[in-house]
Amino acid sequence: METSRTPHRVDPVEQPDETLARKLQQGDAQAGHWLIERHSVNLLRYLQRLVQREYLADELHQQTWLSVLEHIDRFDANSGPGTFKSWVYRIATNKAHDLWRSRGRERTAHEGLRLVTDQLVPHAGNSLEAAESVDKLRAAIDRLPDAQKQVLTLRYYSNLKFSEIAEMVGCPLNTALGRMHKAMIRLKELMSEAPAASESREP
Amino acid sequence: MKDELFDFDNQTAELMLFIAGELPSPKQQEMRARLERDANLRQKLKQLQDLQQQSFDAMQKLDETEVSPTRDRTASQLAQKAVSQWTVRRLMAPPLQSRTGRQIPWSRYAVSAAAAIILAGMIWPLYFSRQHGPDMTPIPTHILSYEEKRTLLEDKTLMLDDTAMNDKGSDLQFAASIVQKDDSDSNPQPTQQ
Repeated sequence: METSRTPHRVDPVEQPDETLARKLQQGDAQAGHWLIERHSVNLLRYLQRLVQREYLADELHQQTWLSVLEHIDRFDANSGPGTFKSWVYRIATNKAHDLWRSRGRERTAHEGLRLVTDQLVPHAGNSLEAAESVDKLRAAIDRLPDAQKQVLTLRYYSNLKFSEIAEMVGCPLNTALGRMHKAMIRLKELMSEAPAASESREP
Repeated sequence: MKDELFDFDNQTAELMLFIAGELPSPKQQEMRARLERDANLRQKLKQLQDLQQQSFDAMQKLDETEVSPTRDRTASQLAQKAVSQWTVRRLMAPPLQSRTGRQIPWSRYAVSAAAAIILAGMIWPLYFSRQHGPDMTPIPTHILSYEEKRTLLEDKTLMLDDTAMNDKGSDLQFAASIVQKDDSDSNPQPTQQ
């Protein structure tokens, strides 16, 4: 099942993240470059799904890596496999949370504006049908409750275990699984509702 | 069956973990055995797998339409540039590195402790002699009683000079005048007639 997920770029160096992190702690810049090469794209997409704005995602992506570098000495590279990725995504998630807190009102205003403009302006694409389909999809994902969207996107982009996601989000394992389950069902519902909703808006 | 799919219970949680391959191996085997026996459970598993696949397909489709290789490359390059700059700063600031390492050799603790003991050994005798030696407290000349002032004057232990007279000595001057007056009263000199 996971083979059909977002394709990851093949890393030229077959070394675990934690080994590279240890090298980075020792000042090996190349190890840092490899870690970025390995995680950058999915991290960027994850942030974009969370904050829904490209420029904000770019900014948070940059801030995340700066924070990783700033605190790399505190990272325990011997704590086991998968911990570095979990650590990076936790930093990114915290950055997104900070942004939500600081821009709560602005976000709400943008959200309202976006919903209005999405109804009026069709997305530019190869075909109107495809664009509408993508817009519906994007709207469906964006309309998921934050907690559910967070678990769904973390699972999809980071490929972390549910237990790791639960620990990162700070909830019991069953809660994380429940959010994932609800997110998938809600997404299915929203995507099936979307055509009817768009048809009802047309004159 | 739709209702069962929508309800989240322990069985659903176990099935989700089973799909993800995250069930502990004894439970994994137990789940396989249950799936072989229970057709409804198999159907629910299939529904959950389809549901997850639909969600991930939707996410992938969205990614494919929004992918911008230039943007991805730019974001990656910016982060890598930050790594390069950080490495240079780190190399140029060795004190910061050693400080963050917080690795002080144990010998320094021993030397510091020895120095503290020696210093204490030097200070303690001074303090002890101050506590048990001769009384070095200054004479409170400004609150002396009449008798004390007189004794002091007679013993000539108090030096009255011009400087002392300007401040605390003024009181002593006054005391000396009283003593002289008293002496003259008690021992009136016979008048020469």
